[in-house]
Amino acid sequence: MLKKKRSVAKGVKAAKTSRAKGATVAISDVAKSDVKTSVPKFDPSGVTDHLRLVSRLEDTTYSLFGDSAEGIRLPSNQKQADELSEAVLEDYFADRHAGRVS
Amino acid sequence: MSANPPKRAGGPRVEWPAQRDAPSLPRAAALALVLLNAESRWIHRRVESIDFLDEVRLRRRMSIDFTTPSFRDPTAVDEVLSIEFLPLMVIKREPLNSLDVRDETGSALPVLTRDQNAPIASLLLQTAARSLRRKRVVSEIRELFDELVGNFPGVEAAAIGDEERSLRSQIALARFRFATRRTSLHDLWERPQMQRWLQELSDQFILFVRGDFEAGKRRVLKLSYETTLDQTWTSLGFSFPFRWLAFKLRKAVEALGLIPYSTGFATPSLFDAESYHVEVLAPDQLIVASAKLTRQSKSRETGEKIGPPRIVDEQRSRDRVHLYASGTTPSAAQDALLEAGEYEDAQVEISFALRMTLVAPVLALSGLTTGVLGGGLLLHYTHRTHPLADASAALIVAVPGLFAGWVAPGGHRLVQRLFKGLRLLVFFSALVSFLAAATLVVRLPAGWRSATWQGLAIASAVTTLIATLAFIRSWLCSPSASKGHQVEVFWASVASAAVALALGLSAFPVWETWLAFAVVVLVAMLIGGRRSLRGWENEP
Repeated sequence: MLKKKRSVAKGVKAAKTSRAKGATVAISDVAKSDVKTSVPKFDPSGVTDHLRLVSRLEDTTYSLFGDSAEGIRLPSNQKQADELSEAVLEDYFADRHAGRVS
Repeated sequence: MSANPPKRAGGPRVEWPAQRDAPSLPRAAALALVLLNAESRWIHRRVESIDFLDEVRLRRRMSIDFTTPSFRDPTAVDEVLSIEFLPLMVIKREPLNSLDVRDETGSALPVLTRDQNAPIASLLLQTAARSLRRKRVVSEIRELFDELVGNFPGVEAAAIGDEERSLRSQIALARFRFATRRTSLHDLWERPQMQRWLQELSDQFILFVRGDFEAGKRRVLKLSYETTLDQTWTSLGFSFPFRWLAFKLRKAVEALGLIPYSTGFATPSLFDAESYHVEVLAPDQLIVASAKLTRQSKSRETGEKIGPPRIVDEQRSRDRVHLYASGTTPSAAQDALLEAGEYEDAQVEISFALRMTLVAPVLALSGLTTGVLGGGLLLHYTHRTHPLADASAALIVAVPGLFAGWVAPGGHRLVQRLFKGLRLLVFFSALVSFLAAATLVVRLPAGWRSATWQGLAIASAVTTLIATLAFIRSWLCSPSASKGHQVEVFWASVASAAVALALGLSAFPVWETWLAFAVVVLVAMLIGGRRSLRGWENEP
């Protein structure tokens, strides 16, 4: 009980201090602003937002995707690839002729 | 004192397979490079067949139709090199489940293991580097190639885990990519052909099949393996937890059969042969609502998609789809991709829908429940009559619930998954009819029974509406050829529902319902009899 009284006293003191320091928002101020709040007028942008939400829900998509074990071959200039193939074969046959490979 | 026993001359000598294969590896590496550089010139056709084993498991079968090219040694007259190790394709560096490779006779062919593959891949890089630079490859670069392809000679496979192998590959690749200018590493990286091989072999390996592949002979090999579907989903603009909710909502709508079940799988083979075919067989009780073979441009640096996918082939409303493409790798297109820093990926997008024969009983059952309740209420308000409040009337009103057991899908897990929502509808309809029946045997205050029936009738009407929409969706997705049979099943379901409805309404002591019951049963008997006679006429 004593603890509760102390905490209330502390709260009041803190509120007073904050007001004295020029704090813009105090508990009572918030309550007043709430009371002042009137019924909002019809805002067509709310409907637009709602429609946008529905549209987004329709766009929501998911899938179960199966990957292939096969890897991806990167694009290559076929002429350069052919030149490399020829050079590799030439070197291989030269090595074979020299007895370095079987 | 030496621990090793003294060597004896002329003793028994063991030649292990690795030692025996070692001399033929340079040839395997050189020929692999040449063959993989021009796959579409010797592989005529790749045909893939996809079977859905269950909800998430796929069995991919691929037949590869090819003619082995002839490699003639210019220094030896008429000597054609034999191909012992055939590079079938480049594979991601991941374990393959249930891999099986067979030849035309159905005999299994041996596939090289990771440790047998890696030395050939390293030699391939060495061969390419030497031929491109016309210089001997120094040991430092050789070691980097080994790191990149995961070739660690003399090290036990268990000593280096998969993660470490992958990390070391990426570090080796980075050393080439970010090498200082005017160094050998930078020189190699700057050569497009070398860069391509380094990138491809840093996270992929070559699938070699061992056998005797005679030059110039046309062969067909069959390869199959299992893969699983991973769940990936996107939600435009939603953040957690709305994304999760949107995902769940989509799944629920899908399970009710209101939208088709969509999935997809990558098909890189599209670019690796003269022509590519892919077949997908829908499990029993499902139809392929739509299937598309698409190709998608991606950034070579980041892997991100560039632009919308292009549809190569498309089919709709089939039991089995066959998508086809040919000539997908013309050199001009490859050059354009190279200049733009892009590459292409291919995939099949497929959606399944439930067959009408599976949805029709659900519609019949929920329609029957709604009919009994709605009809009962109509009779109650128009004729000021009350249902017979006894056990026999309750039994009659519970008729729809007794049909619930009749509505059951097959054993395929994908079908069960797609039917999950409709199964709930069936359960709900049965529950509604049992509750309605229960109000007839329990003594209730005045007005409670009709109020309960009104509530149940509304709930059942919603169920019927969902089942109707699911049925319309199935109808729209069905192949036109099988619609005739499915229409017969639909009318059979309607006739059964009508008989049961008339029976259900006979719980009301109004002579019109008894008359309606008699007429409906008579019509059903006539239709059934006519169909039976037609069946006999068609007998040989």
